[in-house]
Amino acid sequence: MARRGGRYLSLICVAKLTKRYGRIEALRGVSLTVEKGVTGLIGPNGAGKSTLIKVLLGLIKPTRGKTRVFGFDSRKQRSKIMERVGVLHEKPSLPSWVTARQYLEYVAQMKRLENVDGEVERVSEICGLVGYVDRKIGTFSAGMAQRLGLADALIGRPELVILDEPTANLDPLGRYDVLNRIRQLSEREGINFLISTHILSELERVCDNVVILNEGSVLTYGSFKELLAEDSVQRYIVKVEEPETFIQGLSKKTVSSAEVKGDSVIVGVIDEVQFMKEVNGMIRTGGITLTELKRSTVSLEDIFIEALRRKAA
Amino acid sequence: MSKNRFVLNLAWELKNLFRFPFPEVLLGLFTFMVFLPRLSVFAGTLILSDLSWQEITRQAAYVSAQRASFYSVSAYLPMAILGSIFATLAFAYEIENGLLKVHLSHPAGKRTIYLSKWLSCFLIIFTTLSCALLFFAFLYIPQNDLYLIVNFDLAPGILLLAALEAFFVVSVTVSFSIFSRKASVSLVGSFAALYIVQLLSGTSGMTFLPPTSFDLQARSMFSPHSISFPRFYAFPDFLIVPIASAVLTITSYIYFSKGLELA
Repeated sequence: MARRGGRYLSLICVAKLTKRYGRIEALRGVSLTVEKGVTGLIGPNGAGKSTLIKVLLGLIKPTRGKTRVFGFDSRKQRSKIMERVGVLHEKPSLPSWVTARQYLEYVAQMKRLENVDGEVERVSEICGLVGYVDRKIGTFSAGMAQRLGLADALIGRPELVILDEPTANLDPLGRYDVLNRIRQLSEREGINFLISTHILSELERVCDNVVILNEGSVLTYGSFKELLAEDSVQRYIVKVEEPETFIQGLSKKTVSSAEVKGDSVIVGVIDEVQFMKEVNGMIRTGGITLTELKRSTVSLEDIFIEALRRKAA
Repeated sequence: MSKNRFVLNLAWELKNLFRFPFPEVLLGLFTFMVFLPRLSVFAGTLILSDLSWQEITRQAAYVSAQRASFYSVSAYLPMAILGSIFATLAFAYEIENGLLKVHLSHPAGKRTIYLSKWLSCFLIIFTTLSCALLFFAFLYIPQNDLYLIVNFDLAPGILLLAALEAFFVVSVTVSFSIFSRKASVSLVGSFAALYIVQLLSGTSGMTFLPPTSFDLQARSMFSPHSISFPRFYAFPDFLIVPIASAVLTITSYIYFSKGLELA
């Protein structure tokens, strides 16, 4: 792991990590490093995201391989890691018989904070819990419980906050609010985040780095900007009256994918010059009636699909 | 000033276990034991006017010791029920519904969490049992004039008896709770295990098992000829239960800290 001036440059370092549950291989030789900033851990359900997080936190034992967080071994130095990490688990289970304040005070005391009351007020405000902290957790809605889980993770300004599906159970406004808070906390307080989700559009707004997992393997990882630059395929949104004829008229050498979405055809273009020639040809011959053709901005979803396509190829 | 994490966790665990109406549970247990048969067996035959004060004290100690011994056996099943409930709440319930996963995501080691949970269960069982034994040994003798004659020399022995019984009950229930990982299995299974032990201890040749072993230990500890601190006549038998309890506790701790996976 790279070090500079006694400080670790990589927050997380995973080497050849394999985790088996009986015959099921949840993680297959995963190797990656997570740098500072906001990192998105993305992949479909069952990709191994939550398993990876649990191994990082020392909650489950890897079958093979090593994981280090802040340079500490996840298995042997778990307590040292937890001193510097805040965690929100997927569907967090919280003690329903105490009030949110009692719970947050307990967490703050566990983290040996001096100003417990002040810290509880601070995280309550960040997570939109003001006015609810004196209620029993058992009376909370799923969304409020999620916010309380987030407050738990943010107590004590940890250096790294690991969030597993942080926007689950939240309404659209709540999702927007939480993601904005994450961005702000990262920019203003320098808190690093590892966010696991399968809702890719959410991460685009907040992520600096991306790790894409699928079927227990890392498809790709790196900074979001680098991955956008690497993506060789351009997306075009084409509106035609005869979508089937249009798709049939495209050659396989020119486009990598073409699918109908609503009244448009989304086309992954490999060779833009040739693509334009083919579209012109179809218009001239009267094969299609084109109403709109525009270049689409590449999304995280595009990168994800492209990574899957490359793996399949 | 920040508190010690173990103390903090222990307070948290006790608070968690006391979320149920514990005074009512205790009242139920006391009522159960007050109405047990054979209350008059150890009392009511002394004619105090014929005895010296020294002899009265000796007889009082003998009655108290007999009663402590009798109630250590009677209290076994109620303690088994309490132990099963508290061990299940502290371990299996938290493993099953994900509370333990959240708990372990705070800066506290597995050892701290295990010890605080284990000790919270032990403290509740031990406090209940020792209060009950001390109460029945010294205070609840309504049939005769020995009422409220307390021989404090017996108290350490009675507390040791309560500690050994609580240690056994907690080690069995906690081990069952951790290995089963499911609240329902832990609740029924740990009580069933303790009940089977009780049935076996009633058979000949298995008297080294609780609760008969506690009765025998108590009788040997509180010899009528000596009311001083316990004398361990049956030393090898005396060690079987504590050793078994210690082995169970150590095994469950190793599994909790090394083998338990929280999916």
